Amino acid sequence: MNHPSYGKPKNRWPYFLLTYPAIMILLLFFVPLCIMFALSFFKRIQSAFFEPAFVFENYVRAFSTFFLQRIGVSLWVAAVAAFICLLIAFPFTFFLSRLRRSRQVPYLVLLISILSLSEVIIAFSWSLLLSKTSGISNLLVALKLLDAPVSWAPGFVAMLSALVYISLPLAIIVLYPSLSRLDVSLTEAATTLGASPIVSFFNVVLPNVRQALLTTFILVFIFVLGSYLIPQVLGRPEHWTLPVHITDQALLKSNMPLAAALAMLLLIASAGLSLLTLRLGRSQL
Amino acid sequence: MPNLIIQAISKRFGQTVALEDVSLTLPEAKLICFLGPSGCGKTTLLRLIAGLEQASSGKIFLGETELSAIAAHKRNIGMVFQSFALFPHLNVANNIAYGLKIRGVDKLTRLKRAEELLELVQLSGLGKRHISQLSGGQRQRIAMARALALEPDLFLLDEPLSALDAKLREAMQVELKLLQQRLGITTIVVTHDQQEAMTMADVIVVMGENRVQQIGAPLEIYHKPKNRFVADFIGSNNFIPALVKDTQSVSALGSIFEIALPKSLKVGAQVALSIRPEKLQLYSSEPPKSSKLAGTIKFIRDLGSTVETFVEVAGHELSVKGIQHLATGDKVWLSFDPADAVILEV
Amino acid sequence: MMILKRFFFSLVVLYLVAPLVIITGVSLNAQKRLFFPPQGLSLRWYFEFFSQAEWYLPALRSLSIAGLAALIAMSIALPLAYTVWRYDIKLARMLYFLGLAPFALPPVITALGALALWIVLQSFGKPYTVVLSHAAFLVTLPLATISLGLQSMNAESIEAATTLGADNSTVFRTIVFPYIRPYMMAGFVFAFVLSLNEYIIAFMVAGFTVETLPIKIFNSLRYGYTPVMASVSVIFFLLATLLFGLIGKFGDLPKLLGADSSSD
Repeated sequence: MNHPSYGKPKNRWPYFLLTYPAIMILLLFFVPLCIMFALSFFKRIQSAFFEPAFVFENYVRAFSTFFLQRIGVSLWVAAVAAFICLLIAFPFTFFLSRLRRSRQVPYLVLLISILSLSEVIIAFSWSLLLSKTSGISNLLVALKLLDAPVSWAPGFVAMLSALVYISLPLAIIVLYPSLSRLDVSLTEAATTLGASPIVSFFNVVLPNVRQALLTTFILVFIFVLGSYLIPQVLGRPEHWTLPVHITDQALLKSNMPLAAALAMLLLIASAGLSLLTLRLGRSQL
Repeated sequence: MPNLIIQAISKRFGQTVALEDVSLTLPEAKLICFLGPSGCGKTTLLRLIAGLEQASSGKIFLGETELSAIAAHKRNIGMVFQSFALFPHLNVANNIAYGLKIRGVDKLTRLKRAEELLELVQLSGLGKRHISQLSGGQRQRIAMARALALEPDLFLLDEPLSALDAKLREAMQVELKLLQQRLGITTIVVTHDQQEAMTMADVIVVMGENRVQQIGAPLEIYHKPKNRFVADFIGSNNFIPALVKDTQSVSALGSIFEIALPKSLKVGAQVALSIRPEKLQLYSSEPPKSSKLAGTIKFIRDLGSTVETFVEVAGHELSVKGIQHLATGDKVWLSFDPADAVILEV
Repeated sequence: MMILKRFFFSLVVLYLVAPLVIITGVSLNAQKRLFFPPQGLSLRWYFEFFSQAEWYLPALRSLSIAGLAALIAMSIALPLAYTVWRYDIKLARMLYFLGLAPFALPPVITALGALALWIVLQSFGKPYTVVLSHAAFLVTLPLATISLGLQSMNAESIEAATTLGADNSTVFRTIVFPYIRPYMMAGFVFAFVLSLNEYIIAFMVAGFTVETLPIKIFNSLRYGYTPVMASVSVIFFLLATLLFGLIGKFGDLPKLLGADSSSD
């Protein structure tokens, strides 16, 4: 890092500067996680939200067959979506990073615009895209590839398409730095040594960004694991991911303690994976 | 191995012109330097020969074969990149053997060949090393070994020594030249360093302003620059404005000099008389010569092995290299052998 | 090979823009049906969005929440990023890590945590809870962009200012701040746009009392489609494209997203 006169502070001023961020971050992010942790051991009562206690029944329920299956489905959906996403994102990002800088900008703008788009909007537009009245099946009918327009949502494929869609910009943006920093002359050197573009892609580009690919996979995996609206709009109830059930328990069933226990499981899984990416990132240096 | 023929090559990147109508015939089995300031198009020309860029117009031939019609990865060319471009995920031996592996050569032969090449570049036994464990000079040699592993028809090097420090660079210049002579392979080195080009090259191609300015042997280029660009770029030079008096003399700074002139010059034409600083003689008293210039010493720069004296003659500053020790402010005279001067059109 | 590459590239771009094309088409329908291609062109659903209180109020609400949340996120990020960069303080590094954490976790966790917090503080359902929870969630973005800006700064320019007699606060005011201002802008825009589009946190902490635009869209999605939803979505997309487009035009977007600054 590029630090001018980096070092231990000589007076209290820096600590004073830190007070406000410290209060805000601890109060609004750290404390809530602690409350949630405590909550996961509380008892649920009918009339109010919850009652302080120290019981394990929430975790017992979280580990019941029903929720274990839900967790299994969530992990499976996330893994499949992340895999497909990477399969598309890797070559795409490679081509993108090889364009001239000025030509990359419009694509980057498109990508972050989609990335920032509400999951609601994406779920909605995909439900339109796959619907009978306004979907692509109409286009296929017009091209005489299909006899009559059909509805393709809800369903597993519909949900997966939208999940890949929403995570694709993320995957591209995460892969982008390592691919655009990859020395162009490496592939050129391979070319002069007789490697065709496809060959050099597989035995020069791929091995040099393996770490970045793994990191991206994990990030997209966590991202899809957190998807909430797309499974509801485009999937069937058996495809619903954990966040849907957590929200369901917290708001509709008023079972905050169980929601907290489920959220803790999700937290442990995602935090573990996130720390793994950090570790990977460090070993790369 | 046949000549490399470059035929009316032009290259544009969007609106910018990188090369303008370049035609060259380069002799086989020689070491050729593309020499020029940055941005003159020399690297672009090298990359066109390698096939890493496509020409906007024109063709490149290697003997009878049209090189420019062949895909880059089928050209059998060895190239050393400025950054060396060694594959960080492979060890030294696998880097060298990469091209052989692509061609399906078996592992044992590959390793044997890699060891041969390591010997050639005097790095025997480093095959198992990781690229990150090598010094700059070692990386440079490995990059050369990798490029030579396939016995290429052409050996191309893009500023191969610019990443090395000065001492190592000089040693490598000699080594590269010896290697080329031993292998007898047509070699093109792109450089902006004229000393490097003078040290290594059999033929220098001086490039500037996106075209070829002059092609020739190093000493020919040094002593007989064809135009002002070459005279200015190669070594240091004095340019004296002069006027053509008749078919064999010019007047400059108030004196007449008898010099062989190109026939194309008309009487009365404005020209530049160029003369190297080491070819000017400096006198502390008026010499008995018909053609001379009188001036005053403005500044003296003692470089140890030589002394550079700046003399003002009729409002013009001329540089003289020699070993005389005079003082600033002294009145002096300058003269030169007309055979050492070159008349350039302006 | 070249053709194959172009084909693949275009196919992915097509996949990326297809839903946007459909939604734009649907928003231009003349009738109150969701048809594509649209049957008769009209802008009536855009006018409806701007004239009906049930649509423009949530939009105004979302805009003010996003503006405030992004400002607060920035006010948290700036002193933190600066101290982490300038001083060797363990607490600062810990806070920095915590500040980056929300983005590495599924948002439902932050959402549930926020819900629990506001219940405990007995503020459940109050409008400001959305602003504060969004700010805490989105602090990652200005934190990341400002740190990137600070790290790309030339240390010698600060040392030069010091030798010319500037003290720490003068250095910050005259050298550091002007330099990182574009990075702050970028961080603000990222946070603003993401807050505008955020659903689950807003829904959890105040979903039944403060109806933001994404919540409104989702409710319509469940209780009766209308082409206004499509026009809103198009407006949202255009707004994001406009803001990021401005960053792309006046800033170095490839560098901001982590490409090497030297090439090209």
